[in-house]
Amino acid sequence: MGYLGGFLVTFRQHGRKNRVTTQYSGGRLFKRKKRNAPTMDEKIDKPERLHGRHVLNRYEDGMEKCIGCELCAAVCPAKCIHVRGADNDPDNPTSPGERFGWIYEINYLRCIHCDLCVEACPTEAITETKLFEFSFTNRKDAIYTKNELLVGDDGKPQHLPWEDWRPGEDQHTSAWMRATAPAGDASFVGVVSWAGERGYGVRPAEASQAQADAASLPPSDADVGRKH
Amino acid sequence: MTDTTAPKTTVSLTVDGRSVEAKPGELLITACEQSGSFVPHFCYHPRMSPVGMCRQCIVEVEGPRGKALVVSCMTPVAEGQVVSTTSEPAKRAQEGVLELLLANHPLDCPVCDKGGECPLQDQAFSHGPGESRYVEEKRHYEKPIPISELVYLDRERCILCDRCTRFAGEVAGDPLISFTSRGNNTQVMTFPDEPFSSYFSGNTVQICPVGALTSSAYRFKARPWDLEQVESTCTSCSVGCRTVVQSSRDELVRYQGVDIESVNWGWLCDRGRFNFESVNSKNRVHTPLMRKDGALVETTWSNALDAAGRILRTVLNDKGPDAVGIIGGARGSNEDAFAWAKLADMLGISARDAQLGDGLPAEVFALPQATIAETCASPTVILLAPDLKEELPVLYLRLRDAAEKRTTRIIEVSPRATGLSKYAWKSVRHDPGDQPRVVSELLATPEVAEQLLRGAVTVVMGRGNLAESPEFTLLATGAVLTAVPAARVLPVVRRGNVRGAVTAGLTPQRPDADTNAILSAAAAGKVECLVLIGADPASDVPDADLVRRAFAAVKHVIAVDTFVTESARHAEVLLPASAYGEKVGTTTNCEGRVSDVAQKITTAGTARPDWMIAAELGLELGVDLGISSYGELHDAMTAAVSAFAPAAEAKAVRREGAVVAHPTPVRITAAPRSAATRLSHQFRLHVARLMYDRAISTSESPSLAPLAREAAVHINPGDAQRLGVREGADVRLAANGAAVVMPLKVDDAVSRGVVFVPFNQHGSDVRQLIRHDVAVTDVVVEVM
Amino acid sequence: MLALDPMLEGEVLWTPLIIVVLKVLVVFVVGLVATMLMVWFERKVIAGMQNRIGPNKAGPFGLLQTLADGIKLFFKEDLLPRRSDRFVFALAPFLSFVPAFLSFAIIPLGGDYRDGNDGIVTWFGVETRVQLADPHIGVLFALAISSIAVYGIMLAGWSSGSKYPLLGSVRASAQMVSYEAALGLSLASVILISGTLSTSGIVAAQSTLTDWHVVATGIVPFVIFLVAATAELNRPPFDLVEAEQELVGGFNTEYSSIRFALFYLAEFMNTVTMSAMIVTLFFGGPQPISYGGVTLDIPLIPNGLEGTVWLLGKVLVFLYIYVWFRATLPRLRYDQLMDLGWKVLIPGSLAWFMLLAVQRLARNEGWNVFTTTAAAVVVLGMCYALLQAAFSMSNRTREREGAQF
Repeated sequence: MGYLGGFLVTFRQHGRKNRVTTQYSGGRLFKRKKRNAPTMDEKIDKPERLHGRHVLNRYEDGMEKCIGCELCAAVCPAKCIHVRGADNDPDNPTSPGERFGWIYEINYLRCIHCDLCVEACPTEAITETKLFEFSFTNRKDAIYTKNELLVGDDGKPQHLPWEDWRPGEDQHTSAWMRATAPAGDASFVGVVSWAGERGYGVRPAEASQAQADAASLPPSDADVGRKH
Repeated sequence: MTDTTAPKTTVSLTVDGRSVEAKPGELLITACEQSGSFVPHFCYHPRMSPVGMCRQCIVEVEGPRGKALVVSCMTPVAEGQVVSTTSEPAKRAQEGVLELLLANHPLDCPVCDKGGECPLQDQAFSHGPGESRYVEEKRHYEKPIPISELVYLDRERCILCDRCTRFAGEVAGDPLISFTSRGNNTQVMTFPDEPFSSYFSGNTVQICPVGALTSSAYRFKARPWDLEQVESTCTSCSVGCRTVVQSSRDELVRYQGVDIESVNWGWLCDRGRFNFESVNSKNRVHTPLMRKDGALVETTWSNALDAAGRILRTVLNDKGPDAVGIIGGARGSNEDAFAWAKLADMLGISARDAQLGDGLPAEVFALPQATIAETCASPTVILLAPDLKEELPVLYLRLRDAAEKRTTRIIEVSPRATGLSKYAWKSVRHDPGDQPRVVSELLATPEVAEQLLRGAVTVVMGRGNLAESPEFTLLATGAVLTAVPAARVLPVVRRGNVRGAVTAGLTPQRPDADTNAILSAAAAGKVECLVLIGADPASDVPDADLVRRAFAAVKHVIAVDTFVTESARHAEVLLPASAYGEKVGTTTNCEGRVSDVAQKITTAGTARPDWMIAAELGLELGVDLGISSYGELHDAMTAAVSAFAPAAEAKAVRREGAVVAHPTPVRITAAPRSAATRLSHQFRLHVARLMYDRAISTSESPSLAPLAREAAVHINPGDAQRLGVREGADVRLAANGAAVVMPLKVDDAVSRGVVFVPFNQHGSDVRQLIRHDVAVTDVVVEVM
Repeated sequence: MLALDPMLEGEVLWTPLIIVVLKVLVVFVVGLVATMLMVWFERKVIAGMQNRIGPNKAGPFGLLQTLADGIKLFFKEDLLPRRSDRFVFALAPFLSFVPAFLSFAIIPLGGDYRDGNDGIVTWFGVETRVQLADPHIGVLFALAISSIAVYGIMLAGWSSGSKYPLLGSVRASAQMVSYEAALGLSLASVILISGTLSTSGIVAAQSTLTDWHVVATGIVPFVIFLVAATAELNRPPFDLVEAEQELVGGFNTEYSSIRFALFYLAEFMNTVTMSAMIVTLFFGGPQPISYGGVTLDIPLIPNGLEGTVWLLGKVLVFLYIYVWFRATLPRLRYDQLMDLGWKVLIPGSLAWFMLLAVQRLARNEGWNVFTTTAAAVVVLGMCYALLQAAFSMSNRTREREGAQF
């Protein structure tokens, strides 16, 4: 095409059909239609394993999973988690075992959503939902305390006033943790070796790579004879 | 060719291909580690005898009979050994041992206090097999169980290394824990109805290689990666153990012992280990307080300094410098004491004393001195001291070790059996006040005379009885020094930095100006202003009546302290001081070793180090001390006080510290003379401290406070029977015109004719019976 | 005569004065608003070319985004680096900003040029031109002013007291100075054809489509002018002056708050001005499209305003072209940029000017235009060969000495 061909390429990109982004909180357009702008905002489907705001999970009997071991704080590269453990009251234990997370705070001004804390947690207590739209107006609100992070009695994450929750954002929390066995051993694929969560039951295992490949691609000659 | 080489004093062996020269008798594990090959181990501890319990230190040794796997902690070095710590068999053995150790070990790492600093974790990672084949059910115990007020035991985690039991038995002399049951059910346990209430239980927590023993003061407070640490010196008593001060989020969280050869060998007593909690107490004074309408109210530094300055100026101008008395300074650092001494010098105040009438005269520091190491190496040690296990516990550990190793024979002269009595070669009971005669007689016996000729003689002298005048101990020491001119003295004064404060100049500058004299002058109206530097005469001066009269009569009291103590309640101005761990300084222990005290956390509220307060007060009074930073102060001190010259360089006061230069020794010239004998219906009062009492650092530490007991009268069983009283009954003690009521305890450590009452405990105050001008206190015991 | 503006001939009374003041206000406001809209336009068009939406929150369709940015910039902290030269640091943004407005002043913004009129309109009973100023020197003034803009950037970088701005500004000044030569030389071709320096005269000379200078000078001066103008404006693909990948922010690294806003605005103001200049010089400015006696007429708009509409349309085309450049072309490396300026544009424009001059001379003297042109081409060809020889020799020398490129 020569030098001028490039110009044609960019010129051809004009037009609504070619847009990849959506009218995020369209604002004017939707206000004119007198509908609630937030619900009218177009949003692309979030990737299944998006890293968003954390939650502290509970077991199916309501006990907190967090044992206050501070491994998440230790591994956090941004040093944004502050944890202190305390003894469980024997008459009214918060978590099964000796220790529970007594202070648990995450400073979201520093969090980089790397999910290393989720990897480090030995009890799958801390996982990340897909909510990333939670801006605050002062520093204090940015430090989420355990009360705010803990899932409710129904097992669902708490919807704080400034957060913009959409349906489906609390599913698939850290689903990639359930793709293989905790040690990453491929022979344990599909074997459920984690505890249930309140409100969700025992989350199903993820499909193995082979199954995902088989689902997405038509079988080819090359697949025949390939070991699964 | 003639062989001109000297005879070999070392043993040559080969470790991992390197040739190593080791001392004969050294253990193989030490030789390997010193040459650079780390050998994994659990039960081996350099300060305890090896037992070979864990079998982790297995290495392969090739000797004359071929290759063998040996436990390197129980194998001494031998000439020509070829040692491999990483050969296939050695590795398989090490991995195997770890696999077996981990077989029953619970998956507690996330909730275990030791996780992150755990030798089992680290060595499983570095030398372990990597995978476990154990799929069966692990053994279960109730966990954790408290085996004492301070220590929890988790038997599931225990790897049966024997370290804690060895320590309790071998080092502390309190064999209260040991292995019980056998086979797979072997567990560490205390004896029935006997908790692990050793004064050294905290050390087992530090040396336990797993999280089986944990301390209640530190439980779940932080994780090792949260901690920041700095090396420092403990100032709870005058042994000056080397510690590591750890903090997290600007709060003190833990102390650990550091192994230095000259002082504490890595051990700490429980009081010094756990009293960090008092520094974090919410009762700490955060702002200066001033008296307004009868109560102490918060105020600003400028107001408080202004008020204090005004008080001092008025008193100094109107009545002269002799109307001001400075008491205290032994709880701070050398620099703090020096700053106050300099201020006092510049103001002409000669009435100052760092000891609260409960120690020895400052001249004892001018006697020929011995260090702790020298004391433990002397063949003869004469104890004219309080119960070291209660007052200077780690010194007790050192002396016990010397006695057990048969390098030292201890001759104990005390009114009551102490913790060292069962290790003493001779333990002589006497009536309080009778030491000079008893010691003179003892020295004359042929057995003792012969013993004294065996080598160096050290007298460990301290204030054994707060109800008697210190002159008797001095005279007894004088008797020893006369009999053995080369004998030396280790003065075991109570408070952390008495020696430093005295050396820096907080000592009476004219005769008759010590604490008792100052308080008497205050009671008589001659001293109008008392300055208390971290001192609590209302709790610590033995003569309580004197203190009461003094506080009633004195016009002004200026206190510099960390808490509102009993004495501070009388203060007109209370200036908040920085506590241990909040300021930099150096401290001098009982042997004269100057070592540094580090700052780890920011000081509470607006409190300041004592020296800063002295400088500011000086400026208020128009006196410039010429110090504006710690560095300047330290340099000024080491320049002005020649004794501190060895401590001038910063490097010198780290780790082992530097021993102060000794002044020209003096001699005790007075002839030994005992107190008058007591009347037969009376008992002689023996008052001494226990480890846990109402002292501020103990009572403000929630873990330690419950360990302080109620005051009680301890009486020999024979005397109890004679009086017809039973254990627990209330008795009335009367002496010197005062009386107190206390419960009775039958104690066969007390000799006949003597009653022992611990000092500064809850309940009745025995100090009401003590008078500072009475040589010994004879009490009448009345059954109620 | 102050200018070719009939209003300023003779006595200057109150009405002309007020009209001048009004014109100043209008130009100022139009300039600022144009800048604001240009920023929006660029962001929206580039977004469209990049398959995204662009600003859509502030105001309808994001029109007020620039205003929002300006307000935000206003509230940012105004830093003064410690090692900076305070006075010059404060002065530099203005040296960039003011020339843009000054250049805008001489551009005819409208007027009735239909059918050979010379664009004079009557306002409030006074005859005047629809441009703020119309000096005799016209485009020379514009060239001079654009040279001052170089000062702005040069001093900004130097006075920042830090190395990346200095590097950026040194590069910028070198770039702008070298392309000014090309600018001037291609301008010379225009002046040759139009015969006058004043902008109104240049516009008046382009009455028909074939009279448009883009046709009359051959297309080459237009192309050269376009390229040189893009380089003058520091617009992509010649924007390595502010290339973040290389120079942090270039000359405006240390600037923040209002000072940065001024640089930013200056850049876009200059873009608008230069587009208007290109339109004026080559495309007839407010001239309508007329060919062979037929003039396009925009219905519903009176003749007086038609000129402005035509100008607007043409300027928009060029603004779009600038944005198009930005979206399409990768950045030129510095040596490529200098090579282009010195080794291609300057010789090219010079050669073309010579060609045009020869043609004019031939026409004036009555020689055969064709043969003269052919002879000129031959001569230029030889010059070109010589130039190439010089280039290749210098390349060989450089290679021998082991230079980087």
